[in-house]
Amino acid sequence: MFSIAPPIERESEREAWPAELVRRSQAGDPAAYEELYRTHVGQIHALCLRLGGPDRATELTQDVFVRVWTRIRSYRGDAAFTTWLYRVAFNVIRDSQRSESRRRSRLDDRAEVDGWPAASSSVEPEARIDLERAIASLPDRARNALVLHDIHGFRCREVAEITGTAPGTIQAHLHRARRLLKERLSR
Amino acid sequence: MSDHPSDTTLQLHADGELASAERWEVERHVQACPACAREVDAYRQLLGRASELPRAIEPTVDIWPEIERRLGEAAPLSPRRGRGRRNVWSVLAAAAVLALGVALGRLLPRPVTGPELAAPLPVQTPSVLVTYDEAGYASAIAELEAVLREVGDRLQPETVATVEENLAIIDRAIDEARAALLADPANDQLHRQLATNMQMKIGLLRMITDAVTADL
Repeated sequence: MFSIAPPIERESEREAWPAELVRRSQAGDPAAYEELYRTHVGQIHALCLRLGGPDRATELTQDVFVRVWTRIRSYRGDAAFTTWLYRVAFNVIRDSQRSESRRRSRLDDRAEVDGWPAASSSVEPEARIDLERAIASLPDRARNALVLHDIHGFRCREVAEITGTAPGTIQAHLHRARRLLKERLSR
Repeated sequence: MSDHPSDTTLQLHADGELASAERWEVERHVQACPACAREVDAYRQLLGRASELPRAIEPTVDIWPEIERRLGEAAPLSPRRGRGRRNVWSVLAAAAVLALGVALGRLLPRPVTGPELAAPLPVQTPSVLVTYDEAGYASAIAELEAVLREVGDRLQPETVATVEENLAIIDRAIDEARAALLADPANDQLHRQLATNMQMKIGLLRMITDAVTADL
């Protein structure tokens, strides 16, 4: 169902944020915005898959890039563009998490294998699906911290900024997530 | 190290995030303790597997055409002219009302207690009448204050000054209620007043942080 892009270098990718594309997008240039979208859509879609669930990932990814377009002039360059982009994406996903948790059990829905890419990264396909399913079964805040820190490579301080949570709280969620994940994978 | 390190310490060790002195101490323990060595190994494997998951997963269908269609209906908003700015001002108005309420509450006469009571009231302990978690409030307040420190630079200086002024009013009310409780720890109404003031502070901080981050 999805194709997998190779992993991106963490620090170098974030440092090389596309200033010119952002500036032109802020001026209302749709061609520049499309290029910005194509640069980041893989990361944002992966985030939406893991935090929003396979069934809503495409819709959430669209919502994120529409919201980024409407908010891009508020980006002032005082943080890396990717961090700001993830913050916008996280707000969209969090709204969805709140409404989803009221509507139905996430475990029954998100742990479905069907929505996950069948192709492999460097992890064996079955092991990877097991890991993705175990991650999907974590409580929302623990999963948010783990996905942003251990998979998407942000530091605790950056995760705190993205999620609007104190760094100490992020550390606590992260440690809980790892402990739960280790327990669930060892069953 | 005679006792086993905590699970959190073992995780930090597996992640290579311990300071050198503690790292050496934990490593020495792990080398002599098979149980902790297994835990560290399990966390290292977990972190390794997680870091190998793809960070970018492209949608198989091109979703740009649908996004482009929706962009046509939504122009970029100018900074500080949109929802966020309006929210901040409405929050400040609400803050002023909250602070006024707190200030008026401080001016009202306290309940008469002790020997001045004309007739004894039924004896009820504060734990029965009022149940609130002061540590929980303090933790929530600390977390929201940390968020406000992180996002506060998006507010105009005069807005920050107004927010701080209103928070100071509520803080004074909290301090006064605490001081009064030291002298009269069984006074249920003072417990209620303290809980109400802390809830107001949490509510005000939450409104401000929500309003600032709503622009994202």
